[in-house]
Amino acid sequence: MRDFILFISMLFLISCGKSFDSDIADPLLPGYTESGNNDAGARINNRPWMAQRTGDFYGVNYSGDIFISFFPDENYTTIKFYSGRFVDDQEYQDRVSVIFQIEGALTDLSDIRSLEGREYKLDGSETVAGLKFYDTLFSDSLDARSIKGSLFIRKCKFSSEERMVFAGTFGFDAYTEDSILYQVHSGRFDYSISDDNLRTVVE
Amino acid sequence: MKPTRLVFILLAISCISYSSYGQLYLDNGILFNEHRTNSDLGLDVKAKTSWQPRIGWMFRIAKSNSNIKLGIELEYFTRSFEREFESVSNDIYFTGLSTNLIGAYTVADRFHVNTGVKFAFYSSRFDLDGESKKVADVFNSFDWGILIGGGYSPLKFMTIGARVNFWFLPMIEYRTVGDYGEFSDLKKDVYTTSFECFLRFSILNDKE
Repeated sequence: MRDFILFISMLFLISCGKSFDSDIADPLLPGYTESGNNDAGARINNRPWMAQRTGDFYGVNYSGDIFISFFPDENYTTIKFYSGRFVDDQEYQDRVSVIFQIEGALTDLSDIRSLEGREYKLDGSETVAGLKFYDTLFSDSLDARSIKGSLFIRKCKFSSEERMVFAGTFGFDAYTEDSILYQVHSGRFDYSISDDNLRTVVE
Repeated sequence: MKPTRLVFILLAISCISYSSYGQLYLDNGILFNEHRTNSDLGLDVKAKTSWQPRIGWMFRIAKSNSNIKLGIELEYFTRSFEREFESVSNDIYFTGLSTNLIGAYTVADRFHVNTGVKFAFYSSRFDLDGESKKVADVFNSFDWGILIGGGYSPLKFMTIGARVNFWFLPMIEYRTVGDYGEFSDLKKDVYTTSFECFLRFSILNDKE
């Protein structure tokens, strides 16, 4: 019985979102930081959305984490803030991933390091951003594709031999196939990444 | 200069003052903080009152009947702001200690005026919907300014006084993330001017 209560208690603690460092200008979103706080946030059609690495009972919970996946067949790499949630959605019903498709291969941390200071135009020509509703981990399809916007990679700094702080800001306008507009504005992210966050996806 | 070193120096000055013609006093004051803001944060910065206790040493220089005194003070202060953000209440509190180096001049029997500089260190707390949260690094923790004031002593051990404090540094420095990820220029916001009136009780009188 005691073990059962302990198990339930731990599940409850795990289900609660971690606190985050608020933005003074928009306290419902995490502020922009460069310290590996493991979160991302944006306004999606003015609703506060955030992704946050939490970990679960076994130390693995992919929702809210960042995944950088190289797709050799298409020769692009996706940077995905996987399955974030809306801050005002207490039931965690609406899950959305924010995804960037960047040309070329990013397969290790030294590749990521070379991105610092770069700005990608998200006009859909070479680099595209988008949203995926109810995403799966290794999917690279988008439900809404950007036609305008920017991704700024602001900080790629090794915090140890195996970990790197990866931080930046973004914003874009994206349309679905049904011409529904999604405005993803005032985005920011700050993750501590390792090789565990990078993978090559062979289809 | 490190804060600990500054405090040590000030304490040393205090001890020297007490060993000469020093006087210890306690102030019980009411502080009115007036804040100026030019940002779009939506903070409610209307003037508020708070309690301000203070302890100080004052000593004469040169000769015991001089009209000029120097002093050092340590005071506690609070500042706070409120705002409503998308139907969520957001409160910001600041709590700090200020060290004042002052000079006073006795202009007439029982009347004095004074001026000085203030150095303050403070901490911040950020509450969102009643829950205390951390906030990305935007709050300053140091401020400095000048003071101008005066007092009247109806009794030897009691003084009624008033001061105006002009603080020079912004309390908040931040950037916003624009719609398409661009940073705004650094915004410096919330400057403070405070007015205080106090009742002073002298605990140890001059040796003269």
